Amino acid sequence: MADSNMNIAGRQRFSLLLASSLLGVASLVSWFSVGDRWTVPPRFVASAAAMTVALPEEMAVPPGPHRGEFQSSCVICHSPRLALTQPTFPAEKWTEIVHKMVAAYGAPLSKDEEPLIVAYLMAAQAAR
Amino acid sequence: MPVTRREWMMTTAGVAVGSTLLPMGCSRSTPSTTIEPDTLARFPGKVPMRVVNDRPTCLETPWRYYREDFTPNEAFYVRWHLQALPTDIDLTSWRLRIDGAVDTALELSMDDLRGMGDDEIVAVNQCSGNSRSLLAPRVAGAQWRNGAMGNARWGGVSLAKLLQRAGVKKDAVQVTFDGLDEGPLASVPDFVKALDIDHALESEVTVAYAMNNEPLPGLNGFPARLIVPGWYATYWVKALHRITVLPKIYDGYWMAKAYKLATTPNGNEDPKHLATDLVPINRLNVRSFFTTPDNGAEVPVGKSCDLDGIAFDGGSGIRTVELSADEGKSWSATTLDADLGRFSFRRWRFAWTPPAHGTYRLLVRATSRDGQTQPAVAGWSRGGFMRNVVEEIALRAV
Repeated sequence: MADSNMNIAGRQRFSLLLASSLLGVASLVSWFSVGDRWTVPPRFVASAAAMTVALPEEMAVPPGPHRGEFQSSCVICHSPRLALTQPTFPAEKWTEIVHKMVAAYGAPLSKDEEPLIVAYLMAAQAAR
Repeated sequence: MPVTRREWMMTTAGVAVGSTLLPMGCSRSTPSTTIEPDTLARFPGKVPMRVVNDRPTCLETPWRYYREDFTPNEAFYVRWHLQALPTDIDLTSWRLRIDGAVDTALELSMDDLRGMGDDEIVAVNQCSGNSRSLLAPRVAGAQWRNGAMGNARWGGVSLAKLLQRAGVKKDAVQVTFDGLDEGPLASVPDFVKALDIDHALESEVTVAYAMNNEPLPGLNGFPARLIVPGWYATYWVKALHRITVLPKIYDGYWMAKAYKLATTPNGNEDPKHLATDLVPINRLNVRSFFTTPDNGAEVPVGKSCDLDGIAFDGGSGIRTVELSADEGKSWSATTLDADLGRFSFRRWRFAWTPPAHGTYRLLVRATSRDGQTQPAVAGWSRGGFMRNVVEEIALRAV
């Protein structure tokens, strides 16, 4: 679990920054990009430094039967991509996977709702 | 406070991996090696990488980067388990806590950590499920191809040194490692991994704050991560903030239930008769790959073609890497580059001359110093772990 002093940030911004205080003057230690490479001084002094990363938007939840249940019970923990890029599985296998998500991770689904997710996943699989 | 911004970019396209490079070695062309359309995205501090999952972030290293002995930080694969990965860390308040069955609990700042040592080790970090998408029958999980691995020079402080400073009590049995990532629901088990105390006190296990002489990238575990040379990456806990010595075996989900496999070699089991005796995954098995030229490349008949690739194992080191051009009937030893350390990628090279026109299937096989080698037929495990079949490349001699 994170300490209270560690802030889990939102994903709106994309930034990666390293600030350092030197002789009491806060200054930005150079994160600079050279083409694709991000580089920093190899032996930076991290007396005061921070890292902020904001992640890209993820793929949208595709339409399908029981999309709402999929969104509220599955996408709360992982992006739709993880489920939608799985190999083609029969309904029995999806039933097993959905139940594992409830049993191991506490996906908020009643016994009656689990088949709704399976229906969404089977429809999404057929559509690709 | 000034903030550096970079626009991220996401494209869905059939992308030729390596298409931005000139043809390598003897190959005349660099055809696409992509099997299916990829979604590439540009994440903070990273080159465009194949998105295995947006959230929790899982990104695969483009294959061309394995032509380098050290995988560049900006192309190093990324794998997180829990969706709220740490995206905002302030080192003025970050502390590494060492507690549990110790004489003195410690709260170390980054300056404290850096002041305790500058140990360096070269080691391969490979996901347990690397190559999972290639298994038959297919298994559920992050659908990696072969790009969930990388080799880096890790800089930090040996875990033994840290534990000795805290003073490990006599009844210590295991040590757990907790990162700052956390699940969005209280029911999601926190990602905590454990090593036996004897293993934790080995000098190779390191708390790293540097990767290839740079600070760890945010997506690879800034500000510190555990380095467990020779062991699968599931133990290499990122954004490490707590180390706890326990007088018992840790029984949390990520040790007791997840990342377990059969006790057979490579954890192999029969899909129809799953094993019942399971243990936590541990040491890497031996693997080797082609990196030059690209799979499917055209090469000139009768002219020497420079092939190269990488090999690694769980720490005994690579004894030989052999190549076969006749479906495995005969094997020829390749030349190995300098040894960068027993946990490192080892570069192999071979000058091969295609004798006639046609398509050739070349095989590569490594043998470690402890006598392990790669099977001709791929094994299988329910988790899609530890694939290490002999690898192949097809070259068209024209």
